[in-house]
Amino acid sequence: MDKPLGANKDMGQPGMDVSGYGGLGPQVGSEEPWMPEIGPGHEMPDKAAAEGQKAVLENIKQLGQTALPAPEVSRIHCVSIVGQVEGHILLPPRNKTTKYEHIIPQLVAVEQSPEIQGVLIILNTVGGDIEAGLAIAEMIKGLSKPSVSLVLGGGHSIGAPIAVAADYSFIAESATITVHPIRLTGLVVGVPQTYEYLDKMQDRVVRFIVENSSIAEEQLRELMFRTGDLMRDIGTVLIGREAVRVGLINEVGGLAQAMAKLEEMIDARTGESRPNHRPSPTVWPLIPQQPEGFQQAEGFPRQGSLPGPGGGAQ
Amino acid sequence: MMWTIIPPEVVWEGVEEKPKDLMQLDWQGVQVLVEPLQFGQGRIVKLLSTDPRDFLRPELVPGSVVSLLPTK
Repeated sequence: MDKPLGANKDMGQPGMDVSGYGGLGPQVGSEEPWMPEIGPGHEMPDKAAAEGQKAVLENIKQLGQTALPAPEVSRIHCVSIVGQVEGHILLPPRNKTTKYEHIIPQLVAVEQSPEIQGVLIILNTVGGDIEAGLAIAEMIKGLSKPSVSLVLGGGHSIGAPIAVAADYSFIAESATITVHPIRLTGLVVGVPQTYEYLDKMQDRVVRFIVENSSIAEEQLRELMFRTGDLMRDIGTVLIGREAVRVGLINEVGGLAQAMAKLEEMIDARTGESRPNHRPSPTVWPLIPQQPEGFQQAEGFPRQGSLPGPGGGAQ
Repeated sequence: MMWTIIPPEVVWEGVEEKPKDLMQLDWQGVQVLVEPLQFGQGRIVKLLSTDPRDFLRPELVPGSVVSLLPTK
């Protein structure tokens, strides 16, 4: 049952081991062996204790730190899409960006992970690369696990397709979505085909939004090309409930509503009910305390003296 | 092709500057692209792993600083 020690390569990979200790310390099933506080029936055998101690010391020596004890793997994965959605071109360093090449494999891992049951997408983006944004949106749409998006601050331009790609979308009361036409900047070839290309690009985005929300195509295009709403541009700023009213977003809400909806969808999918599912209420020691307590593990003073029923070794 | 509410001249400000020198290396078994910093540290720019689980590792998120010194 024990994993070979020094398997540091696995360190910190969620989903690698159920114990949450990232390949360090004794891997006694899915129990948390070195924390006597966690309750009855979680005894640490002497042998495992000694080996675990060795592993932590080894880790301190090699990395100068120990692994943080992960309390419990959350069944919700949170992806935040902030700043510019960075695509094919590396943006200058002044931009805050979300790199799509990192988000996409993350969503693959979410789909694959046995622990993660749902995704919460937090959006506060000013837009960005169309193809990168559509790629993220299609990935979210393609997830078999429930997804809920929450627009905070702003979900502008390419943020709109990402927001509607989730199974259910929320927008904060104060958040905005700017719907405006796409355009080409920089050096463009002045031929009619350039316009055709631009039009096709626009159609891809419009079609995605229309297919994944309840807004009608005519209304979306009307909002997109409206004049007089934006100071220097054409388009519309939809604030909070306006985005819900036009059918772009499902509901106005905050974090609590988004989490509750996601939990509800997960429960409906998995058939189990874990209301108010939260990580273990155990107070976990801070990092420096852990190896200390751990070093005492040999002849563990508190062993066998745990409070509560069933305190003895199983 | 960008679609954003930020004006293009703001987005592309500084684009002509020399890009940073990057190093590709094996960091604890994962191929990463890092920007070398001082004191044997590097900032992760991109993961080149094909294992999706690597992309859930918080220490490997682009922008995080890792030690490039050998661990022995």
